[in-house]
Amino acid sequence: MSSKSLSLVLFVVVVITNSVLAQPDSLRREWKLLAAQNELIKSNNTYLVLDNRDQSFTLKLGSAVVWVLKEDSGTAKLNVTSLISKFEPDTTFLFAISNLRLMEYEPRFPDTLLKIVSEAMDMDPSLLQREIPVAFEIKWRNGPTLLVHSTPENQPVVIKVPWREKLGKWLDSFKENNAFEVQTNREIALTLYRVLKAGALTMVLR
Amino acid sequence: MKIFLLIVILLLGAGVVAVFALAEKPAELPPPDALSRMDSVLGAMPDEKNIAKEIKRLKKDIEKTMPKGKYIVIDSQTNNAYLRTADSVFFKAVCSTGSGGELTDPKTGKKWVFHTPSGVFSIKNKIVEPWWRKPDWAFVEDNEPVPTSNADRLDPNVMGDYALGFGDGYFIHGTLYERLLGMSVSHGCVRLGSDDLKFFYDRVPIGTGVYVL
Repeated sequence: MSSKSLSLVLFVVVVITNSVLAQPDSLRREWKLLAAQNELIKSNNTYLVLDNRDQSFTLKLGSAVVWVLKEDSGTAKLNVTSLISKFEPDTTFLFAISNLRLMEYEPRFPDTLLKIVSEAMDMDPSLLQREIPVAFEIKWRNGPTLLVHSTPENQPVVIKVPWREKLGKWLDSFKENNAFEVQTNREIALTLYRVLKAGALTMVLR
Repeated sequence: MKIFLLIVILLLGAGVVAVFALAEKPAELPPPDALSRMDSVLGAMPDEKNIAKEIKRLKKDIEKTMPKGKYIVIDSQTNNAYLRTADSVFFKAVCSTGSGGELTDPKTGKKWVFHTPSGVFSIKNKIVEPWWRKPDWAFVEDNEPVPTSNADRLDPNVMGDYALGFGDGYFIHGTLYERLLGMSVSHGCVRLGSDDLKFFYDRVPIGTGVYVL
């Protein structure tokens, strides 16, 4: 056997061996992904899916998409790839929301209108004040923070952040950026805030 | 001079510590149960012999749950009903969902909570000119005695022209109170305006998925 054909045989052997060895790993990964997906579907709870392939940020219930934000939606663009890269370790695809925090904001919803709405809905005006419009922060365990906010038309919202937190954010700015922002319409932001809970799961598809 | 430098360094050090101590970070909660449950599911991986078979089974199970064609999403948080696919929203209507209010029968102590249940459902039946068979709570709410005869419970005038049942006695139906659409005021059913109800009735076959948030 010539040295050329010997190296060809060796090359074929190496390729086959590698593919055989790699197969269980890829099968294990595929099984894990499908098993997790199946459990999320059966849970009857809403969950988020971040998908790098189609750059989507989706809210799902069962196996149905109930809301989807594409990368180009909203005025504050969400870089899905960059957001996904902050979830660690990158071998894991399920992450839990560790905290949801409603932000204070300016300007306030007009008090007169607030009174009418709160009476009609039999709700404390202060609760409504904090929810129209909506600005809230999702923090994932072992993952980034996403500020979701909506704005009333022609009226910019200024989110009020306490000075100690501002200081914390300023100090964090020296480290790698783990904070993201997305803007969406009021109804979607309100739905997201109300259906997501601490502990809700997010599937991250890299 | 050395002492002066040492004091300056100490003061600077204390300043940096104070800045870090004052910097506030939002509190985080401990690891959630859902993730622990998922870990135990993912820990039960089949052996190498059966893994391919299990993958096939899981794919089949997931495929079965996928909505076929258009489906309904009821957002009880913002009182909107959608007819959509994964990619597009075809129709959006303002609805009324459960108020979340409670009612207790003073005589029996029986309690009702009027919320629209969240979860995955499907259209079970479609009715034209539905009659409402008033449940016990409707009489308790109006301070009326609960009738013994079925005929005394029937009301032909409150559910609108159509009703789409999605299980457990819950319906998507019309309302006399269209001015309250957009508010959470129902006893658990999903109320729609008459034109929107007709739109859904005409386009939604039995078996269509209903996803309630």
